[in-house]
Amino acid sequence: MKRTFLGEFEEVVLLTVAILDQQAYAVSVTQQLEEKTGRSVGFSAVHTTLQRMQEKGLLSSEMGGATMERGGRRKRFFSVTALGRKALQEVKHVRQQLWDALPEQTLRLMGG
Amino acid sequence: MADKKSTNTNSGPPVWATWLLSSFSDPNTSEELQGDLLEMYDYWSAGLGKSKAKWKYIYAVFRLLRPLARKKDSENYQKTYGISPGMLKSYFKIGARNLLKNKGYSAINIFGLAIGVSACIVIYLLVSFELSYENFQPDKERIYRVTSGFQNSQGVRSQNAGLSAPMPEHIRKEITGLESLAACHVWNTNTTVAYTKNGKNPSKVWKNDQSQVLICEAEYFQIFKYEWLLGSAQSCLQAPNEVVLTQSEAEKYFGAIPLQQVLGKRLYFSDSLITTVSGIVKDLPSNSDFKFKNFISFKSIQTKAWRKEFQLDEWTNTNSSSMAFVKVANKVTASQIDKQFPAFLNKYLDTKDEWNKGRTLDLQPLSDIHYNQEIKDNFSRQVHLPSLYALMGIAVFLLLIAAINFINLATAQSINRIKEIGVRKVLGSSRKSLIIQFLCETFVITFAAVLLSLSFIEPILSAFEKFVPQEFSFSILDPKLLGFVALIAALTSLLSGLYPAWVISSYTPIASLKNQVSFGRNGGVLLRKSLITFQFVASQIFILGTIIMAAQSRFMLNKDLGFNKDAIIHFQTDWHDSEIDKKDILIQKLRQIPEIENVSIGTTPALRGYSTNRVSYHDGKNEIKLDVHRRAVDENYIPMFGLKLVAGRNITNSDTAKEFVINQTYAKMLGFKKPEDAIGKMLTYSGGKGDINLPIVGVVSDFHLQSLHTPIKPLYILSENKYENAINVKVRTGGNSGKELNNVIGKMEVAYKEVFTTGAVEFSPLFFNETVGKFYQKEQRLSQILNTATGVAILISCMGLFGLAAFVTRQRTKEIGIRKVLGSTASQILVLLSRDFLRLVVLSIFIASPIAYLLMKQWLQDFAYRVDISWWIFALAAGVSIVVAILTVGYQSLRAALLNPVESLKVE
Repeated sequence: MKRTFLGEFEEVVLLTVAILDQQAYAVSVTQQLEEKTGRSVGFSAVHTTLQRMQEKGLLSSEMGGATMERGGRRKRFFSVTALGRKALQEVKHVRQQLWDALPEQTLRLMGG
Repeated sequence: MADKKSTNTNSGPPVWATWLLSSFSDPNTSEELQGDLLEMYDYWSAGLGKSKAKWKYIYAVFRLLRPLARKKDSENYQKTYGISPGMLKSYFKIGARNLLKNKGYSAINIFGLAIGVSACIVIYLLVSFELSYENFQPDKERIYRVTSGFQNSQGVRSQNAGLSAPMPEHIRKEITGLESLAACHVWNTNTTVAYTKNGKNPSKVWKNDQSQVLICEAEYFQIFKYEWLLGSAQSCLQAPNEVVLTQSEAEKYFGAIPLQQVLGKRLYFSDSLITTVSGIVKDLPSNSDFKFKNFISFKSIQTKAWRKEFQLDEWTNTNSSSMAFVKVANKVTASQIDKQFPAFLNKYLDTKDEWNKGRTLDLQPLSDIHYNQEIKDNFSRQVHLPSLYALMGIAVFLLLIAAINFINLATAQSINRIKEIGVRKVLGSSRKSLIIQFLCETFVITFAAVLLSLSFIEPILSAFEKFVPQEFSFSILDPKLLGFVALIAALTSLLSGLYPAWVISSYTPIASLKNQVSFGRNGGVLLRKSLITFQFVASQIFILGTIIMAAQSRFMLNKDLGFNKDAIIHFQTDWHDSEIDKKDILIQKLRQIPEIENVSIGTTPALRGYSTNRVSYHDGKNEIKLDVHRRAVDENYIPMFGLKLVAGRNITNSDTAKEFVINQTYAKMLGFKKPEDAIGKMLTYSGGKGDINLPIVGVVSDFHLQSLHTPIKPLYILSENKYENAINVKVRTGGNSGKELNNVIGKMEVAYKEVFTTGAVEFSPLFFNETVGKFYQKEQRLSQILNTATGVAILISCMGLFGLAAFVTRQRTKEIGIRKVLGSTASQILVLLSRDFLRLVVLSIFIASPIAYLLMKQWLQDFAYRVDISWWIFALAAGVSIVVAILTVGYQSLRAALLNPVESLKVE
């Protein structure tokens, strides 16, 4: 199977879903992202990214039960699939390799 | 509850945005989205404040609306494929099975479509042939013919395809912007081929048809591209007495000998012009008016005798046989050339001569020659462009009617397949695949219809032989034709299949399985009714057109033209023969034939063409100068044609003009209150040698000089027996059967041949009443086409109506049964069933009548004498329509009405 490339935003969203574990749905992901990265994140962008990654098979989703909040409307919870985990691992691995390849001096200059 | 509060109070997000989201976002994610956004709104308003939160909410909603947001396909269902090879195969198979199952409907559908399609194809073939004339010439946009314009004393302009013979060589020298110019003469003559056989010199004479011999300058071949088999455009026709032949002509003269041997052979034209073959070209394609096959070098006619014969030095004469073709230089427009002509004419023509007043020279594009009927010449066959457009219109209408038929039948029929559709939908067919299925079925039918129509082409063409130009040919394998046929097939499939497919696929599975969809209750009925109305409007217009045209032709053929036309035979004597004695001898001989009652000299009272002279009359104060029609006759002419003298006396025989008889119109135009006043007055006309003053000795009542397209014009009659070579013979009207008349003609021919032995002008007798009938050939052709179109339109419409009536009756079988049980009579049921359809027919009559009235009024404008469009025509057409509709619907209705209710009710 061909390798799945993750965009930067996709990567961050996917990671956030993984962090939130069972509680990942569009709203929580958006809020978590804003909190952690400190940047303003568009809700619609998060929504479409989640949908897209589900189509790609990186995420799976199921509807939660109805609650009294938000007008009784159900939530769609996302979880990372095996493929998604693999993709995250791969990204991390690539990054790690690149960091490892940095010469000592440069690393020191960067304040590492 | 909490939700209600938050959306309905002002503190919540905008209601309209929520509505937008719930209506237009992807249905698969709509629920969680709405919830998510509500949560986000609260989050935003907590962090950013209400108004900012509101804007963010609206922005997010818009971003999430379709089609901006990506569509997410549901994962819960298996995908169905509308177009997969397997399904397509199945669609076609089921389509074919359905065709075979409903043979009656299929036959009506296929046959109706086939008629429409074949009419379309035949018309396409003819029209595209006529429109393709000369389009193979590579420089066609740059080729023009120089034509002459004239103005008569009443200021009416006319055009001539030719120009005065000395003009071309001066145009070549003085007009700038021409790449080449070729002077030409169309020569109607015979060709003699001399053979040398066994030392002897037998010869064979070929009588050429018109427009086969062209005397032309070598530049002709630079202007028009011919494919040279032998010789070349550069080398041929440069010297006198050369001739270039086309391949077919060479084979005609010399048989199947190698072309190389034809070079150097001798041909004699008109027995006196000796030429040698110097080149051979391929014949032009059939879509060309340039049918010349013998090209004689222009230098051959430079001797004094030939110059006189062809009037090469006559500046005042314009003959349409004497033409000039030009090719303008690149990037030069026709108007740039046209601008130079007035100065040119001023230089060479005597401007004081009133004949030259209003004379012009103009360039006529090559592409105009085939269509411009104003400029007649003696080689091209001109077609009437509006007629071609009318034909195209008819083709479109016929196809539309056939397609409508199909739509009506298919939507009505769909009721029988509702269960199938329900089952298909339950089993997972999407609407798209159902539409594709029905389009496939339509395509099967269209395809069958197109195949059938291809086999109709030949018979139709031979049935309409008269309308098909001789040179027309076609091949079924012509890629353009096949392309057109494929286009028609695709277009018809879509046109007629899309709507039924749409309707059929719209039934919901539950309703269709419960049998709750019923014919007559959905919106399609209105559409179906309007389609039927449209069909009948079209048919009705055709019917009205046919009746009015028939009325007009009957009027034209039966109108009292002011002269006798029965049992009169007319013909021309040999004009080469200037010895007057010979014609007199012939007349004497004819008189001796017992069946012949009378013989007279002179062209027939009504003519196809006309010849006029400028005649002036001085009434003491003013001079009245008019272009007056002329007839040169003898004293037998007026009694023989039954012309009525209203004043004065008949003309007396004379060899040269000495007195006039005029018609009433002329007398009125000259200002005479009573015809008697004209007697003894002097008219001045310019004969060959200056002006001549001659007295009026009689006035005849008006008769038609031309076809009924033109009003009666002023006329003078004189006796100039020496120069007139037309002869009329009146046969005794006993029981003149065709056989007897042929017998008389045989005797006349014998006499003719005894007198004119050279055979240069053959004896070709014509019946005068047939000649008059031929004035209206164009109209007869048009009316015959319209007759056919009417027949086809009615046929197709009726087939549709028949099918629909059959269907509706079957749908209502039970209703009829119950009505009968409750006491309805058969006639009541008949009325009930026919009423709906008749209402539509009546409506269409009301729509069609004014349209047809306007169209036909326009058509009748062409005639100076025409019938009135009176109410009975509309009544008749309406009657025809209603009767036809009753007959069509009635059969079905009657059958239903007579059915025993036991039969119709027992099935459940």
